Parts: sequence; C-alpha cells; structure tokens
Amino acid sequence: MEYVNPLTGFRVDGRRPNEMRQLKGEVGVVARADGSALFEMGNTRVIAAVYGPREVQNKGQQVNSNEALVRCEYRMAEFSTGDRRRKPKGDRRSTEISLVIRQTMEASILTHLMPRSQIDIYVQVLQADGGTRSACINAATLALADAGIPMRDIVTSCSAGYLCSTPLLDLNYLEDSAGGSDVTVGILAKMDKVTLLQMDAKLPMDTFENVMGLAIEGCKAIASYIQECMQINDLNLSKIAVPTMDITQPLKSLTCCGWMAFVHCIAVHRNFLGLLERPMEYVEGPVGLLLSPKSRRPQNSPSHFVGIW
Amino acid sequence: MVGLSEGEKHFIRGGITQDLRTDGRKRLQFRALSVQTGVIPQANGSARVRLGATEIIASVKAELGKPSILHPDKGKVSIFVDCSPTAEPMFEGRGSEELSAELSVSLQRCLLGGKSGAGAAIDLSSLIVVEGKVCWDLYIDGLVVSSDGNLLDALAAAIKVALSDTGIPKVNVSVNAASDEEPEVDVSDEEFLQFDTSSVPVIITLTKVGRHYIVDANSEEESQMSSAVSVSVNRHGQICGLTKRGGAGLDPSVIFDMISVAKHVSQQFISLLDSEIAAAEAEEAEC
Amino acid sequence: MAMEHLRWRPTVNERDFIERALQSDLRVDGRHSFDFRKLKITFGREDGSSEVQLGETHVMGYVTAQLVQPYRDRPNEGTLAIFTEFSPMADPAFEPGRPGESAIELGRVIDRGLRESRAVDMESLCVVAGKHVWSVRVDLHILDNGGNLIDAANIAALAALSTFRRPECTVGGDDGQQVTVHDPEVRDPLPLTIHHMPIAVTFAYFGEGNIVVDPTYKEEAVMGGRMTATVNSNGDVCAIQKAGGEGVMSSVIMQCLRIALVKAADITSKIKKAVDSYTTEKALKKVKRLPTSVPQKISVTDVIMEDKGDGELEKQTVDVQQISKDPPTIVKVSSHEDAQPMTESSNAEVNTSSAVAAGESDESQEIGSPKSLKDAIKPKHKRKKKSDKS
Repeated sequence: MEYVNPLTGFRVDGRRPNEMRQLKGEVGVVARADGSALFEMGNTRVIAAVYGPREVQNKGQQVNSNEALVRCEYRMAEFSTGDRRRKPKGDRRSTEISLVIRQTMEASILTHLMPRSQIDIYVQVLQADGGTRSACINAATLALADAGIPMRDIVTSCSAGYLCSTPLLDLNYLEDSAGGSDVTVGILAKMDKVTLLQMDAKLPMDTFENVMGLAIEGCKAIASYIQECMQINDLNLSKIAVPTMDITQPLKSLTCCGWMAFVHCIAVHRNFLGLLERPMEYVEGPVGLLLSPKSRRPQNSPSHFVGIW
Repeated sequence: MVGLSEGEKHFIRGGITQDLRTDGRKRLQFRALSVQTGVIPQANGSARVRLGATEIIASVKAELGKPSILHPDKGKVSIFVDCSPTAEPMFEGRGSEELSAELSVSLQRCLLGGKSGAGAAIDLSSLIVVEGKVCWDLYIDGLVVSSDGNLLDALAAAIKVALSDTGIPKVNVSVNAASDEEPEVDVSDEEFLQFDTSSVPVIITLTKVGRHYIVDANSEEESQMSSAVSVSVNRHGQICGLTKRGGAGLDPSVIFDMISVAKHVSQQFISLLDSEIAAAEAEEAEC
Repeated sequence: MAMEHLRWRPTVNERDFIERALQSDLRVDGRHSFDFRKLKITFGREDGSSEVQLGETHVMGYVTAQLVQPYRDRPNEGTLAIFTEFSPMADPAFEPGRPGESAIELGRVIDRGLRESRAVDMESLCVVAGKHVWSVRVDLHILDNGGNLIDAANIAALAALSTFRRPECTVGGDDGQQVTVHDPEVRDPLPLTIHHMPIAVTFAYFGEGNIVVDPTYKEEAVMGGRMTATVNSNGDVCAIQKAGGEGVMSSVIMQCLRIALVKAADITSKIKKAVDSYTTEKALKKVKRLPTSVPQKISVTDVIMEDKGDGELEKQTVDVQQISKDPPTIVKVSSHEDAQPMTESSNAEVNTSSAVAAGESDESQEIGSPKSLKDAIKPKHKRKKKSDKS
C-alpha cells in the first residue's frame, strides 16, 4: 500500500509528511478530579485525571518519603479501537505504557516539594487512532497543571515514523500498523531535553536522526499549543476568581465551567480567600503559567457548607 | 470516597427534610443535564451525558454475527459497563470490577428483556439480516468518566441517547438459492437504518435519606442513604424493571408511593431527554 | 510492585560517593564509563539453552518450539514470544508469581528488538500456510540481579536462539497437509535463520551530564534515567527504550547510539565466538560417537592386562567395566542356550549388579561389544565379586 502518494506527496489522510493532526486541549473535563484534561490529536482522544497531592494510600508503595509518589494507570475504553474485543485489564502493553507515562511525568514534577504525598495520574483512552501514549502524556501535562502541581517544565510528546522512504510526523493508526518504524519522543520543552524515547523496527542511524528530529519538532509545536491552552484557562480562571463577576456568563470552550455551574458566589469567594491562606506554590524554572489560582475545588473542601449554615 | 463531618451530614439530612438540598435543588429535581451525540465516530452510535458532575460516555457498536440456535430470528445485544479510574481513584486496577458488574447486570435486566429476548427495549427481531444465518450483534458499552452519584440513571440515559444516535448500515443480501451456503452480504456505507428507541426505558433511582426520598442523588447524598429503589419506566409509563438496594426495609405502601412518583418524574425526564437529543442531533448535523 | 520497598536503596553517603566518583570519571567497580563488565557465555547440554553472566548479573535463556496454528493476519509466518521469569532469589524486590512492571518492560524491550526488527526469519518457520507454523518460545530466567538485566537477558536470548535447533518436518499425505516431524536422531534438526543480531546496550544517565554504559545494581539505584538502545553491527537502530526519567539533549542521544554501535559489534563477535566454539564442540562429540569400537577395544585390552596382573586394588574397577559389558552378551547367550540353568541364574546376578554400576556404564551399554575371551571367565569374576561384597 502507498502511504505517501508519489505524485502529490500527500498521506492517506490528506496530510503532508510533516503535518500534524488537529490538536484540541480542554482543561477541567472531570468535575471531581483535582486536575483533568482532554486531549485530541486527530481522532485519537484521551482524558487524563489527576488526584493529589494527597496522603499516601498504601505506605508500602512509597520508597522514598522525601519525594512525592507518582502513580499512573493507562486504560483503554472498550470502544476505543476499531474492532471491539474485551481485553483483560492490566495487559502487558498497558502496564508498560503506564510505566512509561509515569516516569515521563516524574521527570517534570518537582516531587521533592511534596514529601510524604501521592499523586495519581489516570489516563483513559476514549478513541485510539495511533499515538495514544503521546496524547496521554500531553493530556497528563495539562491535567497536572490544572491540579496546580509544581513542574519544572512542560512535557509534551509526539510520534514520527518512516514509511515509503519519507519521515512522517504524528502517525495515525493506519500508518502505525503499516510495519514501518515508529519513534515516540517526549521532551521537556523549555530545557529542550528528551526524556521519553521509544522506537521499534529497523532504521539506519542517520535516518533515525532525521525521524527523531521531526518528532522533536512536533513536540515543540505541541508545547506551544499546550501553553496556549494553559494561558486561556488561566485567563478564564482569573475572571472566575473575581467574586463580582457574572459567573453565569457562558465561557469559551477552554474553560472549566463544569464545576462552576452549582457554585454560589459565596463559595467562590471563600475558595478564593482560601487560596490566599495557602502558602504560595513554589515554581522552579521558567514556567510561570503553572501558578494557577485554582488549586482546590469547592468539592474537596466541603467545609463551606458549614460556613453557610 | 466521601468523608463528611457530622455537621455536613446533619446539613444534608436537614436540607432534604426541608426540601432544599445542598445544591439548592428540590427533592424531586434533577441536576442539569447535558447531552452530546456522536462523540465516538468509530462507533455506530455514541453519546456523552452529563448529569451534574457525573459524566458517562456510551457507545453502540454493531457487528455482523450468527444468531443463536435457540433464537434464530433474533439478534444479540450485550451491555457492559466500565468505571474509569479518572472518575475515582478507587476504580484503579481491578477496583472497579465489582461496581461495573453490578451496574452491567442492572442495565441488562432493564434493557435486555427475558431470556427469550421478549420484552427487550430494542426489538431484537429487527436485528436479523438472514434468519438463522446472519444477524447484528450490538455491543453497548458504558464508560463512567466522572462519578458524582446516580450512575445508574445516567448510564441508562446515555444508552438511550446512544441508541437513538445509532445507525445500522443497510445490508443487501444477495439471494442465494442453495440455503446451505453462507449468504453473501453487502454492507452499505451510505444507507443507515435507525432504531425505534421510543420503548427504551429510563431509570429513575429514588434514594431514601431519612424519612424522605430524593431523585438524582449526588455522592454526598448517596453516602447518607438508607435504601434506594431504581425504577425503570418507558415512555408509556410502564414499569420495565425494579431494583431495591440498601439494607433498610421499606413498607410496601412506601414502595408503591415511590413507584408512582418515579413514573411521574420519568415522564418529565423522558421529555427533557428527548428535547436534549433533538438539540444534540441538530448541533451534530451543523458541525 | 508491592515488593518495591524491598529494593536496595543507597544511603546518602553511598549515593554521594557514586555520584562524586563519576564526576571525576571513576566508577565504583573501576571500569571506564563506556566499558562493559566481563561477559561470559556458556551453553547447556541441550541445544537452545544458554547462560550469560555479565559481571554479577546472571541470566539463563531457554528456547523451545512447537507446532501451532498461525495468527489469522499472518498465515505464513511463525511466531516468536519472549517470556521472563524474575525469581525472588535474584532480587528480593521481585515479587513471586505475577510478573512485575520491570519484568514486563524487559520482556517487551527484548521482544521489540528481536521481533520488530525481524532478526529471526519468521517465514522459514512456516510448515503449512494457515495451518501449522513453528512457535518459538524464549524463556529468560533472571538468576541474579547485578544490574543491567536487559542487556544480559538480550544476549542470553540471542545466544540461545543461535544454538537452537528445531526438528525437521516434511509435509506429505494424500492432501499434502499431513505434517511429519522427524526424530532428531533420524534427521538432523535445523537451526533458525537469524538475519542480524540486535544487541541491547543500556546507558545510565546521572545528573550533571554523566553517562555510563552497563550500569551495575548500585548505579541503577542512583541513576536519574536510563536508555536501552538495541542496535546491530550493520549500523541499524532496531529499538530504543527510554521510558522517561532524566532529560538528555538529542545530540547526546545520537552520541550514545554511536557508542552503542561499537559495543554491539564487540558483543556480536563475542556471541558468535561462543556459539561457534559450542557448535564445533558439539560436532566433535558426534564424530567421536560413530567409530564405536575404537575406544571399546582399548578398554578391552586394559581389562585383559589387569586381569593378568590380578592386583587386588584394581580388581574392583575391572569388575565394573566387565559387568557393564554383560547385557549384550547375555542376550546372545540366552537366545542360543535357553535351557542352561547356570547361565540363567548368573543372568539375574549380572542384572542386579549392572544396575549398581549403571551410572558409569551408560555409554558402554549402548555399544555392542564383540564376543571375546572374557565371556568364558565372567562367571568366575561374578562370584568373586559377590564374595568380596559379602
């Protein structure tokens, strides 16, 4: 099969070799999580939810109590793949991807600032069309930022492949299963360092360098998109945080209005004050964006009920 | 995971007694409902339903299969529920299996009818392509993405929406004289058949807290329940299923009362759901 | 995962020591940054089993194959599967029973390196397309964890695959679908076709830009990240696994890959050398076995000489040797002279005592010894030995 049209140079889905699929990021999709995000790369769609930092649930799991324990579970929905088949939970592939995502996120989380605590990252694949682990890492980055967890950098991930003697950016399922090489890269965007790198199938050394370079470029593009997402989210949050604002005003797609719907102005006000009472979050490095005013949701501090009462 | 202080518990119970719940609702009022269809393009039909902070994604996939020998004139439908750990850290690993199984069974009871398939929400004989040879297997999957109580009602609503969104490809069977041979089927990419979903019931769960019962309880309220009755009602006001959970005993007269209330509430809920489905489909068509 | 707390953790001082030593380009075991530990490859008695020792790391590889039905999407290809066994004996952190995260990762990294790069020819493992193919199974047993399990296990897998022989089989029958698997004694079993050797080379990254190759257990406990590059000696990259951890510049990664190439060439030649010496040794053994009478005759003359010398001390060994040669003779005797009760009774004695000596006599029993002088003297010796014993 021809994955790149020799005449036009277009790929099976009409993209150019170095063109990425449509990206979409949405913060705050899971109402009760401490941080959550949806991330789409074309038809690949994943949700990440972050719970924590919270008390360590199973003390035996914490190896080093001076650092936060980061955990991750990757799960695919029953309907996420084209042919529907029930797979046992925790198969070898999911276990490996969970490990990979966990260690990639750990590279950016400032775990030493949260001793004796635990951060759970859950990623759920809703639709799989190639590059699920990349999409999961991008979603997890957004969700961690949404949860207000201090990070040293933005981690983003993208894949690239090599088919028909052409390096291709951001493979879809069809291209991924073509048997060619598949290189998944995860970078720390501002430091310009590679933290995740996985590849398979044979590739000569210099070709590999080109393909990896393309994937890194993809990661950088995603990083700037994710930053945009965070900025818009922050802007909306700063609007919400002013108690005099009309909170019923419809917010744009990148808001997290889900949890706002039932919150009284008083609750918002108290939450806002509550934030000021908390110690300022410490952010190392240049990512000022991560200082988000939304570090605790009203649901997690139901004490405001008592206040009204 | 709900950790409530004594004051909060008191507040919840007191509010229910006074017909003013913690989020400002009345006892028989649902949370805001939002419906989106076609969220999973790979599926034949899909829906996302949000009920307050509870969020469900339901998908319907149709595959060609063989009807069972016992019922050669009927297709097959199966329902599975999965609770994602994104909804609750407790659901991590195998932690969700018990709840998922319980929800699956409840939904199967309400929607699949008896063993023979009689009384199922979907007319199973409409799934047949060639009698005794080819039929559609419908796989209905519910995924709990976010959980804040009342999962069963939200799941049933999501499945109802997903089914109404479902288009089954039209199948052309080439007439083959020799009946022993496998019939040749040609699945159309363009023509789709819609289900008649008018008889698909909704589930209304009445949660008893103290002396009163409420609809659409959130997880804080659920933690205070003594018992709950889930009534599955279709458009014609007929009861399709009934489940009681929770240990506390109920007087039969209370149950009858609850059923009639559920029936009343369900009619409002169904019409609300219908208008949401229409709106969602119109929006999807626009996109 | 539950056993994670049993993993050895360096103390603050140990960590500091390892890191500071690396700053001045020293490793705790005296190696240079890009040196591998001593590699020792040995083979078991059977084809397809290997044992690899990389420093203190000890891994055993074992390859087996059986005929199965192929996957529907690949009807004319055999299958290759990697199974790992992390014994708690190797490291208390390994949980018995269910494979842990690291066991799964190791299996998948090796699997990717071998399978996705098509190192083993899969089409030649097909017997009848869509019906019967060989399914090759590689079992990797971690016997001791001294760090860098992936590289050691990968070498063990390659060594075992290189020496593995599968029985030859032919297709016949009326419908041309019947498969006959030939006994290895009848037809020589066939080796696998291995196109290239993907060698895993693991780099450990420490803060402040220190990189070492082949990390030890202690270095693994201190390192910030790890990358396993699977490359072959043709200069192809077959697989890479860097599962998060310490970030590195892409130029550093390319540099590591170039180092990996050099290491891979070195390890490939070591594996090939070990495999070659194993196969020649095996071939020599076979040659020895064919002219059976030669070593036999030598021992016979020995016996005779010793018999004449009649040394008390040597007698016992002589007895053993002679007894072991009995069975074939007995067969002949009994077939010819069934009626003689004397020989019958001596037969029984011989049998029991030969069972005693069975351990040493395996080889000689197989070989039919020609009738000779000794047949006549045997009963006497028999009795002698019996009296000795009593």
